[in-house]
Amino acid sequence: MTPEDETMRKLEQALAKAHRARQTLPLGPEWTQRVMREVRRGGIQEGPASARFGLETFIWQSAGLAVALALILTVSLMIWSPSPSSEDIGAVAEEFEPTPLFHE
Amino acid sequence: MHRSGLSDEELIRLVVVGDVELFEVLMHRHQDHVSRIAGGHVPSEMVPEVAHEVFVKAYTGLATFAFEQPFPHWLATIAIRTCYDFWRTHKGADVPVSALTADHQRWIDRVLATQSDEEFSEQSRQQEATEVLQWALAQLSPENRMVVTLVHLDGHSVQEAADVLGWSVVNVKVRAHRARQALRHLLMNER
Repeated sequence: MTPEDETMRKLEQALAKAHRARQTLPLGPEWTQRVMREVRRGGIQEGPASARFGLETFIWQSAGLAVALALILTVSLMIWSPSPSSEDIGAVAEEFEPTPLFHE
Repeated sequence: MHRSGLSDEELIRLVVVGDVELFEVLMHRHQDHVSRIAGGHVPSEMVPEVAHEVFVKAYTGLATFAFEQPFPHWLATIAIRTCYDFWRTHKGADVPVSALTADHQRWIDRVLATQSDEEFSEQSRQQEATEVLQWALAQLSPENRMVVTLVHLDGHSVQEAADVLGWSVVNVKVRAHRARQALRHLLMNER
């Protein structure tokens, strides 16, 4: 450790000690009543945090429903959608007349 | 059982279902805790205002308290983030910090010249110590100020600081290093 580092370490320690030794004054009953007045005015149910909480619950519940619907739709499409049968493919193959790529 | 004898969790459940007055019991129980945290981050004259905001936020968000951690920890996170918001909003302009005077320079010299632990402790209790610290912190950005206070002054781990601030561990680690360097540079230039 350089002498400069040692100097800074000592100064930092003194400042940290001063920080930890700080005193805070008690907030008092008037302060408590001021906060309680504001708390009584704004109910939890109307608060932004609870509104957000309600929205989050709704989104998560809807997400489950959306996944179930998507699954049902996919399965029903796989079952009911018309797919080309082997006969259709044969008919197309018969109608197809191969032509050479280059004229001889 | 008297209602003030209820646990934090019991009180929270009752407040959430509408017994608002019980929130006062929670406030009485934890206001010193919040006041101490706020006092470590903002000027002492701003502590009542910041603590007021902390409890209003706590009340508004009480329905989101998940009972997975002790209530004081949850409250501490709100308090620290409110202090961070305070510095982001004020940006030092509304909280004037006087420049260092000859008295402060002499205090720095006295600290560096101390030989015994007793003498060192005595110097740390001087008013100049708090003023030099406030001056140095005022030179930092709100982000660096929070990290220096939490990690270097309060002695929290990087992980704990990251958790309460909602930042990544890497972000806190980088800031802690850079902020300390900046602080050292400031103090060195004042010598």
